[in-house]
Amino acid sequence: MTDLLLDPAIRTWVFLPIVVITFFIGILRHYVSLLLMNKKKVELENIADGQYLLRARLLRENGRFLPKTSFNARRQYLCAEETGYLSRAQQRPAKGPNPMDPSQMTEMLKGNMMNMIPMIVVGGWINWTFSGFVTTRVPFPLTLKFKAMLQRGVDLVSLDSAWVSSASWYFLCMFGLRSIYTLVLGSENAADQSKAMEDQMSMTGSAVNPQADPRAAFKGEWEALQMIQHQFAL
Amino acid sequence: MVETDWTQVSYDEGRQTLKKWRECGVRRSEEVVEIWEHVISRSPSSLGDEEWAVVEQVCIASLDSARVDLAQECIDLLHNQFPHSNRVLKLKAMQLEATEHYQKALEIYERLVEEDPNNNSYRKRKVAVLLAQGKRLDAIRAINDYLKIFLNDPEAWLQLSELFLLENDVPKAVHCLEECVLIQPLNSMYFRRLADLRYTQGGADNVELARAYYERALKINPTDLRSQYGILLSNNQIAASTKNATEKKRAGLAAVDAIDNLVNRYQKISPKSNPESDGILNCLEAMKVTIGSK
Amino acid sequence: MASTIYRLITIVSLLSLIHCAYSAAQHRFYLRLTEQPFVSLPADVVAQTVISLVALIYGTSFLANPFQYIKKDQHHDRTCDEALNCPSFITFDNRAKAMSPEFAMLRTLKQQQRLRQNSSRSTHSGRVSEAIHSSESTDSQE
Repeated sequence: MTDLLLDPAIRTWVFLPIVVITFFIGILRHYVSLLLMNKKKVELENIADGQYLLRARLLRENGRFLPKTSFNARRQYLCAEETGYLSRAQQRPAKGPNPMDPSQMTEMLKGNMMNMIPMIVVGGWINWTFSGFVTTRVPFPLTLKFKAMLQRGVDLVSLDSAWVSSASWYFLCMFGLRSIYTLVLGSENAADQSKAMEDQMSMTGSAVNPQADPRAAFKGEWEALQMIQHQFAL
Repeated sequence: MVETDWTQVSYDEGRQTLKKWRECGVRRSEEVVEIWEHVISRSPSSLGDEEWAVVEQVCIASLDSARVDLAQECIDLLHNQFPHSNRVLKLKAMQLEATEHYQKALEIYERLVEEDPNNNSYRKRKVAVLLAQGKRLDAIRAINDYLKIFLNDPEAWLQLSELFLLENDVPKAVHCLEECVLIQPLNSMYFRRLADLRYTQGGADNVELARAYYERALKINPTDLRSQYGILLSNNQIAASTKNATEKKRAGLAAVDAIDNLVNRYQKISPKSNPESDGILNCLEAMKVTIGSK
Repeated sequence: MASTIYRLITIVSLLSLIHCAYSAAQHRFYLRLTEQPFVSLPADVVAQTVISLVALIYGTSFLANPFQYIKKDQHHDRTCDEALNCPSFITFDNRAKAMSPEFAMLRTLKQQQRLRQNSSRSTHSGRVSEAIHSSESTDSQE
């Protein structure tokens, strides 16, 4: 394991600026997507669905505070064969994600664009600007296959695979700064690419995503409710 | 009870009190108006971020204490700051409600509901209009419709249970409170109220349930005196009505326990803060003797 | 005041931690210059780091807001009035109206309107207008 000594100028003029650039580009992306994305109009039916799912879960968790008759009456209301809400909801026609729908398609396109394009553009620029030297070393050993990917522009055959170029440092930063965005921008930020699923657990009318199939969620809750044994805990 | 003179408090204290009341949803409207007029309104801009929330709070409080002039001032302030706001429109509709123009208020609420169907506060105000007009049954029906969509709103369930109690329909009120318990199982107030209702319903099962709920309320909130009384009364009732001897004994012991706890609590209170505490202590001692002898 | 002491402790321990980081970096730089292998940091730097960390944790735990119970009952210090209040459903139909002068004016206006209706009730047009007015007034009064 060779121990290279890097020029401290790399630290000052490459390492830190890449971090700063990534961070600010992320914040910029968040604000631009706020401007471009229109507010999701949630259907009332989807709100009701979300609420019923939440209620089924609450019934399972806190049902032990209710006497047996009340609990069974509520379980009956939700799970009964023909008349229960969950059973009826499972029989609704499935509405999967519909690529033919123009409004949904533009939403998807916009989302993908917002995420992919800046990443590619800035990654390419960094690769072009900061090329020809290694920037940092990853602390774990890598195989030779990674050399081609991580050491663009540095064609040394005997160089250890752990030394990576600036482009790979950029990508590392981008994925690593995700949690910092949560700290800085609050939990609802568009710079965080992993927030594709809406949070179903919030109280105030959060709805089931119409693109995800709600029937699977209903079926899950129905089965869970059927299985539960009521024990009056007080 | 110490009566604070709200006209003499400091600015900071007034601001903290208003904030506390705003977050807890307390209805002390005349005091809010006093604090505003004598303390805060001298320099409202130094409230900073809270300024508009405080103005809204004062507006509702002034409507509640029939101070139409102050309400109009607050609405004007808010309108100048937020000209196209739905929230300000809601306040204007509330002002119409307060001056008994119920039809116009209802029209505004319908329009707001159409514009923003996901915001549940406009639907709740529509129910409030019905309540103000005294149409309780219509209000019950309206809350039921509201609850079909927004299922997990403990405030609405609580209001519904109050309405059922006004109609003397205790089982339905119990059902509504149970919903509240499902949503917020760590709230001792719901348990206490449920226990009160179950005790009112009477019958052996209900009184046992009431006792269980009182115990739970006491566990969550050990300083709650009413649940202690509730335990005493329900145990007394069970001891009197049950045929099983061991049950009787256990209930009797639990009742005596409850009295001991109560006596401890009352002994710590000085007669100045609660002038009846001596009388209560004597009463409790007497009860202990009668229950202990059974 | 108590919180100034804790604030002081927190700031001092923060500065001390930064100083430790700097001295560790300097130590390594020195070792690199004199070409000695890096084995471990000197004992005083380590000791200073640990002490300042403990002091920082101690100081911050007092500066932060008081600890909350894990399962907290929000209503443990509230009266029935406050806890069972539903502020979204507030109605303004209370006694305050009886004591306010503006509402007294409103009431006298309504009374006058009713008197005018009663006096014009005898004529046919009066009855028609009464029908119209009564429907309007039921809307506004109820």
